[in-house]
Amino acid sequence: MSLHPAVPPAAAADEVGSPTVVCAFAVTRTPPPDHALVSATGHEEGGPLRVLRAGNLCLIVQDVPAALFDSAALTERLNRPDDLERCARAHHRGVEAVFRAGPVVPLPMASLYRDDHSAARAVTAREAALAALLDRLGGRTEWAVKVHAVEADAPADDSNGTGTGTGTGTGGRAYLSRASARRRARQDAHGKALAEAEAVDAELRRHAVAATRHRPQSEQLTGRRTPQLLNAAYLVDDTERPAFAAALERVGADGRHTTVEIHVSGPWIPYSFARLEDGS
Amino acid sequence: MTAPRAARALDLDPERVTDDLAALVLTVVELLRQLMERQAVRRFDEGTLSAEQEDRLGTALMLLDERMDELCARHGLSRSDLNLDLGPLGPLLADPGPDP
Repeated sequence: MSLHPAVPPAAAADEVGSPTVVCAFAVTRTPPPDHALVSATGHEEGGPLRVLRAGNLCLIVQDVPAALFDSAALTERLNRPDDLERCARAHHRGVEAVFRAGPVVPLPMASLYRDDHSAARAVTAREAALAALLDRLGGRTEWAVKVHAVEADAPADDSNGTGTGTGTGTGGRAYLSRASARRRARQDAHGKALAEAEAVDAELRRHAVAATRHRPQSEQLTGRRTPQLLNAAYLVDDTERPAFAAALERVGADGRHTTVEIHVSGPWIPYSFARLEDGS
Repeated sequence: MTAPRAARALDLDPERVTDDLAALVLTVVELLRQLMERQAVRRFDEGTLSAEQEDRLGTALMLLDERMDELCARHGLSRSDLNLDLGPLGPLLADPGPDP
């Protein structure tokens, strides 16, 4: 993240009365019309969204109060889940407004620049890579697929799980052998579920331009009692979308993959594929 | 610790401090219990233990397991409450433990 010390640009400071920095949302070739930008609110604390020309590309930006967006204030706010969510939603609103008008490269949340000049310079310095990325993302959307293991049938496991009943003479050995069986069953189930998750991934990849995997979310985050086995994103060309949807239907069909549950969401703006590092 | 716990890190309500401490201690004990059990099961599967060793080890682990249930019940915890999310490393305790 390019975070410059918050030195107010003179012009903006005159307008708003307090120092501001420039928050960038997205890069595009096809900036949305002014009325679309005005009706989209970015960060609640900032001014209206506006278009900033940078070479052959356009950057959609917003002036935001420096006091709220300097690195200490921002770090503190982003550590609070509520504020993080507000900030992420604001960022998404800004990117979405641009996306409706044409291909877009969404920038990381809270990409901040000291002023218009440094923001534009950051874009022109990477113009070729950004243009290539725009070409790559145009006419394509992202689909998120999460695969979880299904909940095990606990009762069957439990009936011989907690070491009751057997006499003390063979109790110890019986306990070990139960523990051994339990462990094997768990490993088998996990291995099978993992293999099914891989199969789902392989099938979906065939209809995607690109695929990427995120770190599986913790059980605390998913609120499920079983591990997340796959947290993937697929970049799907609009022309391939019916085929991708059909593939999703196939992998989700009853009886096909019995040890996993598949959750799909999309189409999304291709955030996961907007990274310059792997875009080359 | 998890976010909600961190948020009340300075809550000095004696009851709660005791419970939090108990949970932490039980987490460590459960981790050790699982490690021991895993090692014992491995030896058991390899067949490198004598029948008597198997019995002694199994009995000790079984008693420890029962004792964990009692301790958890006394502090109003379930085994899954003891797990800690280590972020990129995954959960601290690999085994979900017997369901309550």
